[in-house]
Amino acid sequence: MPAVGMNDDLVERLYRLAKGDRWALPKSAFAAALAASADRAFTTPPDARELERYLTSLHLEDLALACACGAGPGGNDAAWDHFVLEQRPLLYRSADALVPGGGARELADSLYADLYGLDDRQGERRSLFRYFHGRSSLATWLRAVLAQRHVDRVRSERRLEPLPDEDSGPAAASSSDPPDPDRPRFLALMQRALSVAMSRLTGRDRLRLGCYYAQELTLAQTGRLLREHEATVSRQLARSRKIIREDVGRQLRAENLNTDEIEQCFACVTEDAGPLDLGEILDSIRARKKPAADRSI
Amino acid sequence: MIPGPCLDAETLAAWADDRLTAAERDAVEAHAADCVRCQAVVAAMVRAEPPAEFAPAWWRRGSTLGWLVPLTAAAAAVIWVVVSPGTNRRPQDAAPAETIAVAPTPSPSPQMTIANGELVARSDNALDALSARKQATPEQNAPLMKTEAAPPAAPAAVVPAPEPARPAVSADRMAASGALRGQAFGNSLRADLVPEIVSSNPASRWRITPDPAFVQHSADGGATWEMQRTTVTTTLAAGASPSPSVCWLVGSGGVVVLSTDARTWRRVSFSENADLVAVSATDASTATVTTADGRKFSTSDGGATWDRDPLQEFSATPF
Repeated sequence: MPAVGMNDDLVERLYRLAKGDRWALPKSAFAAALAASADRAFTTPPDARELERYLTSLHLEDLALACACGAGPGGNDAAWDHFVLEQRPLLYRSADALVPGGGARELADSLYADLYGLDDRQGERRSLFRYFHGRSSLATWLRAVLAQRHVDRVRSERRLEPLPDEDSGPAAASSSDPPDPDRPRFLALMQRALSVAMSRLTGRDRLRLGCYYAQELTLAQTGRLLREHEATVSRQLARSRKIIREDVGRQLRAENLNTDEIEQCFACVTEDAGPLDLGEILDSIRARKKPAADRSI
Repeated sequence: MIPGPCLDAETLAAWADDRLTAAERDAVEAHAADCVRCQAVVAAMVRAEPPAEFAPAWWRRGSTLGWLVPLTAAAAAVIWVVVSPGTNRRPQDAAPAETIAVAPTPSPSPQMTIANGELVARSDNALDALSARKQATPEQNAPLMKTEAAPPAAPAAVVPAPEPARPAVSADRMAASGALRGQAFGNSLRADLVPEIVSSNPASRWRITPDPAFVQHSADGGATWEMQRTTVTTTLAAGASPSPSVCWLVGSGGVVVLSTDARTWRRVSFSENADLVAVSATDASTATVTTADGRKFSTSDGGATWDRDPLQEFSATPF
């Protein structure tokens, strides 16, 4: 990490803005937190003006609170009281929004425990607050951590779910109908064509499609995420679908399929998607680019 | 700023709070575009977010270029809008939709605003509507003009859901109800064009969007559209508009919604949990809905009570 130099005047000014004296936070600890944040943000040492601009943009009060809670054995009592009063209800509310009925409450509680630093390694308290660097608000950061843990838990539970029986599902329901011999071929063609067509979209278009179809966000939620008006989201989704349709049609014609066969290919994915899964298509696009590892704190 | 292949909480939170630089945001979006895990995390963050007022802070440059994508003949071959025969009636004295003199209506602010819980987004949709009309051939435009209203004394034109289009309209709800997301996406590819529900005054019309929580209304014959919140979450399939300010919409699970002011919507009670596929109406009080299995129910009190079609009841009995 590049070395970051901060002058005492800047630290003093930022400490005042952060109201660090509320929690009797040592200035040295606060300076260390500022340096860690800057080290993380800049790949090359910034000039003084750029550094000051960056540090001034941080959520300084939240950073001071996080420092006070995470510093020393047990942190600062007043800081913890403030955190419990302000942030814990938000954390529980976020957990309830993720899993209505309280199913994510234990996630919130375990997160709270990790923030406190119950994981005592070699006599040193390790609080999760060390990962907060003030670029976002503390509430948003807590929501991100909670969301990561929730998603990772759901994904690990899915891996343990038993596979469905072979005689259940649409195939079983229509077992009296003779199987369409072309269907597997058409499905495979559609899967491949869709994957290629989607890989040709911009990242933002794929993200929009993924959020709306794979993650089942509403237009409004997708718009909030992408900083778009939901009418724009709707219109952009329609545009992306049109682009994909045209691309898939071209690809299928390049496979020497006639119009009827192309219609049957599209019909395959509307009647019964079978193995077609937008999430898997997106994953396959990513796998072709670069392998990645799960990461969360 | 973005160490490692997957996004960490600090980055995700900075993204949510709009604290990333433009380059960082591009990089984050590029990663999230293809990473299902990170998409799931941001989706969870959005769901866990406390409700906030809508704030369209800024607009991406690319969002206004969608109309440049041409609708090729090849694409038209795979875009399928099926219209039930007999509903493509035009008013005998009506001019083509593009030349209809639109009754002057108060023009809302061109800005993106929220008024009375409705989202107003005219400028982008105007581009969309205009470009669609420019690029589509008259034959391609024809299916969009099928739901003209009957003379005032007669029931408004029934707009039954075209068979392929209904799955497209219901694709969203299928996904929301846990059905295969791929089928929802596939359905949306198959039939993306939804018929317009035109009132007795063709200037006023509605169209159903993929998100049943919203419909679109135009007061100028389809030149511009505004989003209206319907308050329902199940698929909408058909509608009827007996007058410029009245519109009935029906859909799956017995959902019936009614607007009597061309702006706000209310859910109307319906006793059956049956999928409704068609509706006809003479005014805000009188309407007849048709279930997917062909049963008909009528109301004359704005949906407070519903009666089954007496003819149907009679025909069901052998003697």
